[in-house]
Amino acid sequence: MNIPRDCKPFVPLFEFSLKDLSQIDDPEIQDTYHRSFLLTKFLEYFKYYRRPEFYDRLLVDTEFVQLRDQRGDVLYAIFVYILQTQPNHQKVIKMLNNKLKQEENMVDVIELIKQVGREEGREEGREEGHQEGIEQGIKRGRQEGREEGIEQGIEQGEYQAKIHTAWKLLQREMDIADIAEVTGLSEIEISQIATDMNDTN
Amino acid sequence: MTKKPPDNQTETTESQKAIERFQQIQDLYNQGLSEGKTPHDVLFKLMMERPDVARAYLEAELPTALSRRVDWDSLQYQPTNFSQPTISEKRSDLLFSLALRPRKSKTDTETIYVYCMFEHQSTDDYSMAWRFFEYLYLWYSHYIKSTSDSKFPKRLRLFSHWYSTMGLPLGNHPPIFKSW
Repeated sequence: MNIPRDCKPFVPLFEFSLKDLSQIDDPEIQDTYHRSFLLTKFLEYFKYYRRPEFYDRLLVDTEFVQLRDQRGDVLYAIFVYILQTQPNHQKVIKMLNNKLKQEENMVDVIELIKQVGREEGREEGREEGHQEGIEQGIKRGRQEGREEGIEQGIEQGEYQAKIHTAWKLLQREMDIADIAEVTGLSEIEISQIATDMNDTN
Repeated sequence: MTKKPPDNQTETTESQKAIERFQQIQDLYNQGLSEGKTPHDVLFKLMMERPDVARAYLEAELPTALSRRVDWDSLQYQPTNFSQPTISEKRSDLLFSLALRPRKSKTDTETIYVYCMFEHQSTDDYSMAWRFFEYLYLWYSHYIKSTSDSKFPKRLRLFSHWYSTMGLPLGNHPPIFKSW
């Protein structure tokens, strides 16, 4: 662009670069972004996440375990990404978790997912139970009744938490027997929840 | 001498920390999804908010001569929520500012801005070129209004990694990019 010399200080310079990641070869990605292992890995995941070979590539990926950082954030972020984007996430996560288990001091991510589901359910159940207990207590107008109500609420809340956890794990397509083990509910109860879930859907 | 906690207590604490961190990451995704973002947007931001990753990315993308002049300790993340584009779409964008060291035998310092956009396209999108200009225009308008500096930034470099699962040739897209 021809800009008169005196005008140049007043004219900002814009430059563009456009890249189509799907058109860049893997060795080129690794070479271009070699300064960050993490960067090359997540560009690779972005490139392949929707392709059929995504699973097979992860299966032979010997570097996956190196993504574990001190707090685990990177691994957790990738696992949640897989949960959110992969239709066969159960299979992918199981395979990646087995990879991690072969290493020392590696976290069991499947156990972590179960725990987080449980915690979420408990928290919600506690809140609901607590609220319910308070309401009952106020109705009775007596401290004794109020305390009793809270206790009842908590008990109900814990049961609701179990149902909530089972619901979430069913959504993640976990086996009924495994869910029963995790939640302490009977398989019959879980089957009933699955039926309710299907009816809702 | 400090008494060490029993091993099972240490394990419980570590396990609790792991649960909390996993929960926090999951919450970030849930928050992003509730704001209309995609899981890719959330992961992109999570990764690029790490200065080591952002630096590696920018070092690779900037021309070598320019990259050598960058004072990497000056890397700053700038806000990008300056306005809503008229063409709405889900996107991940980041704006960085970087100070350049003076050239040899000169004393002029300079700040450059790098706007990175990462789109996950699975279909053809002919409005993409226009969107780039729109973001540029919005940022520049915001910059002029918000700065007391009478000098305009000398450079604005706009980068985009456009991800297409269709493998669309760029030539099909904006002829405007060819003219630059």
